[in-house]
Amino acid sequence: MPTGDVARRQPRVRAVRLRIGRGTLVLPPLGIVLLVLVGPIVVLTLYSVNLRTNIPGTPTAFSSANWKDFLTGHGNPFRARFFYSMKITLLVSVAVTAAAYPLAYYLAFVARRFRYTLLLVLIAPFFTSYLLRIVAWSDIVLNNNGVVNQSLWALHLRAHGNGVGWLLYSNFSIFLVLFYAWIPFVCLPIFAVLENMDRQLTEAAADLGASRFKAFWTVTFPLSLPGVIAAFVFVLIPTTGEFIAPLYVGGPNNQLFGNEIQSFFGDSPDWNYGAVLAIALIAVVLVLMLVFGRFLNTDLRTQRSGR
Amino acid sequence: MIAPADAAGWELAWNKKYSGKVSLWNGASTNFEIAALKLGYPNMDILSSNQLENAKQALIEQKPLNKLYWGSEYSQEQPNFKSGEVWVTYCWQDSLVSMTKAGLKCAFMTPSQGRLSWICGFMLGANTKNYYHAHAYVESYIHHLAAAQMTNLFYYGNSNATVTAADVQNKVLVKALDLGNPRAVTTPPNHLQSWTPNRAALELAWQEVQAA
Repeated sequence: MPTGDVARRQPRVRAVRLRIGRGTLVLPPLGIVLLVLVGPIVVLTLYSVNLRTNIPGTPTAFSSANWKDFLTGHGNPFRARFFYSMKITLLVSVAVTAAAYPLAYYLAFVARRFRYTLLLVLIAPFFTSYLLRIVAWSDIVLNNNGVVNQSLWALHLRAHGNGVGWLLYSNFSIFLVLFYAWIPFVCLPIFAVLENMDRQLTEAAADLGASRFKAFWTVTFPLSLPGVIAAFVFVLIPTTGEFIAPLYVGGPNNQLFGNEIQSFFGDSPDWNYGAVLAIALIAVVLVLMLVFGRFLNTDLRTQRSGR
Repeated sequence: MIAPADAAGWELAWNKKYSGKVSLWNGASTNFEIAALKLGYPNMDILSSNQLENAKQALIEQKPLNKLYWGSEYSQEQPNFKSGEVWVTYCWQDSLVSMTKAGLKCAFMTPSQGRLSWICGFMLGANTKNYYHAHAYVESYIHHLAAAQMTNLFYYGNSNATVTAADVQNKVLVKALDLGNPRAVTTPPNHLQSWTPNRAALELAWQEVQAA
């Protein structure tokens, strides 16, 4: 028989053991995260302050010159490109989220037993590679001999051979391709929240005399906001560093900040300056995640109880 | 589409008449060489700081006229030219054959400032194991039949002087590129691309052009 003192201690020992057990399970993924996420960020940071270089034989010594040039340099084109990219990113994120909402609403409240079939149809493009889908937009749909121009010519809406110039290699094409690429992805979190919503709340609103719009605006929409914000973040974060779509469907004036970074590590290698741009972008993404992360609460019960 | 009088020199890429129908290659050194020649700097690969800055400004001025800076010859440059998306493009030797086969009326321009030409070669690393195989490889590469085949399949000129114009099947290309003339790439009107001493500054300048 354990003494009273030991008996008091035993559950605590078990709890500690359990905690250690859980901690052990976390270690492998944590190790991978440190290795493939934190590690490269540390290395990039070293490049950004010139403590490492990709050019053999170049002396390395701490220097903040690249940072100073990027952050405060007069008329720095990369900084300007960053603000341009953020503008495009915000525009795409707002538009995609706004467009995904009615789609998710339809799936959750109107499609009824077909909703999962329709959801599958919606995410079907994910079965094809992202790159292939972009190339398809560029080469099959939007280019001068593409489906859109061919249709306009066939319908005699434009003279044959005279294609719409802004369809490809423009802000429009980047917007369109990103919109297409993200909308199924963005629809999912909104759908998940709407699907789990307590329908009795809208019924109660109706019983209390609210019109359908008022019930939506005062009950459904506020309750779906966590999903909306999650959807917005899901598109905002990856679009901030996007470079594939602008590379294939953007013109010289429509390249995004991600393309600048890619270029510094590829065609015109200057990893030191590229690292400055990359770290700056990572910092912005982290801030965005911190800002929006606090709204990412998909537990509707918590919301209702005001916790 | 392009008035012959406009296709007199590299300034064609700066001609606002063809705005949105021009496509330069997404390559730092080549675009600075083009800008240098347009600005009248025949030493196109050895630019002073001022000349580099002027070339950068010229490329920034030219940038809005571009439909795209193409990155891939086969998925961007040639399809865009064939579809009519682009009318004026920087290109390599096989584009003429490809466009002619597609039935397009087109030609290489002979700019008043001169064309660009280049030579590619092999490099053998100091620590290469079995290095003697490299010699056998190069020997086979420059064999008369292999060299003639390379010109006929890929339309490259080559360093084997025994390959003459008679060995090249595409006579349009023979005429356009003066194939069979072993000095074609090194004598006027061609400017042979060479090493750039201020490469890092040029690369950064090109990045600035792209970001501008």
